Amino acid sequence: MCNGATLRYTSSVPASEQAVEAMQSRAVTQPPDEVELARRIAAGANEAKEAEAQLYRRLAPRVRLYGRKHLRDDHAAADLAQQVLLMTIQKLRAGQLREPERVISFVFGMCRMVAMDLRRGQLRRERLLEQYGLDLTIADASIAPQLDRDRLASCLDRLSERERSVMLMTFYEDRQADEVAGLLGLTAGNVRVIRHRALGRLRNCMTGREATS
Amino acid sequence: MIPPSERGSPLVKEACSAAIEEPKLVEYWLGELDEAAEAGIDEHVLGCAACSVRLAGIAALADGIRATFRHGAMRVFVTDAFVRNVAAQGVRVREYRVPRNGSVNCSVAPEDEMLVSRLEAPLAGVHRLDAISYLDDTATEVFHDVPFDAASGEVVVAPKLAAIRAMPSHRQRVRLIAIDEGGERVIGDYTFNHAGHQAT
Repeated sequence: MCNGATLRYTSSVPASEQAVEAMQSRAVTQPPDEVELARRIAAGANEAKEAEAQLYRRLAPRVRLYGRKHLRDDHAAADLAQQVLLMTIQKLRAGQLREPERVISFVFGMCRMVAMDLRRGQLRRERLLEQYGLDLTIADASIAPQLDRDRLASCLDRLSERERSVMLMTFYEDRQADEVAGLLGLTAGNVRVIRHRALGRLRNCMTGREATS
Repeated sequence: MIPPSERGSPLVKEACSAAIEEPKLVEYWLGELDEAAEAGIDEHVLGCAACSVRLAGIAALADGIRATFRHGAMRVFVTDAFVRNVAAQGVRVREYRVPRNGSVNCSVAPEDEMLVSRLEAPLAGVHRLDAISYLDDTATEVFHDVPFDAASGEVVVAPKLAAIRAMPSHRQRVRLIAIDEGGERVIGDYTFNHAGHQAT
């Protein structure tokens, strides 16, 4: 499961008991998901403040990634994350998000809207901050693994010349396969194959699973 | 049986029911998908911790490749269009153009951010090209199947700037060899007489 909420079953216990065990185990060991956090915020219970912080910590990196992908600018992505989550939490606090179970859909909708605004240059950050205040704990919005730069350089060295060229031309400016193909006189399909193979080799090299080719 | 905490949360449950394969995430990151597919992944990633971490890994790798190149720690065969794009972004590029079987006196200044060698070569009809690097007449490296744009009439290579910056004065020769069904043929030799930078 994507959220890592893995349920483990054993063959010696009836399925219904397994499910109960799994539920109990999950209740004890699994942190609340986004929906549960949204419900707690909406309920305004004692733990609402902590739920807000948790929801922020969980979603901020993802919204920031959305921003990086769609706005191609780290600062704009950070602005996007802050605006979207402030508005989301404010809506939850005010009970204006009637279905907390749809919190991800709501966040997605806000991402699209705010990203559009940011693209248009209609920055509403100051107004939003003034309106909603910044009484949240701002979490570290990075979920990316820390890359060992020396190791990456060494792994890039191990790629073939063509793989290295494709990787640089692709990721230096986030170019699509057909653009890179045009630069190198290849087909887009060929670039995708080279890119996929190179990514796999880099991953294996970075994790120490690769013998040199 | 659905655990109580997941009842009534079909969207979150659905969003995490299947991890997105890496090639698809890469295509998504690069904007290669159509609008509907992109929106689907947008929403999935927002609701999926595992996929968002994997996507962040792709973004981090892209950052790492850019940083490695900018720090001059990556030798790579590129194209004229790529060099022009990089220069247009304000990167200080030092270029040397070397005629076929010719030589050039070269150096690297502290403020240079990218070094480019343009090897002029008749590449019409060439499908595969290897390059051999000689340092002071000793073969040191062979680069197999290097990328090139045949129509441009040149092979463009960005050597590791950081390594060259650290080297004393030396002579480097590069030989281009075309490989085809008939065997190998030398396209040309290119000599770089490198002067180590003298601090003033």
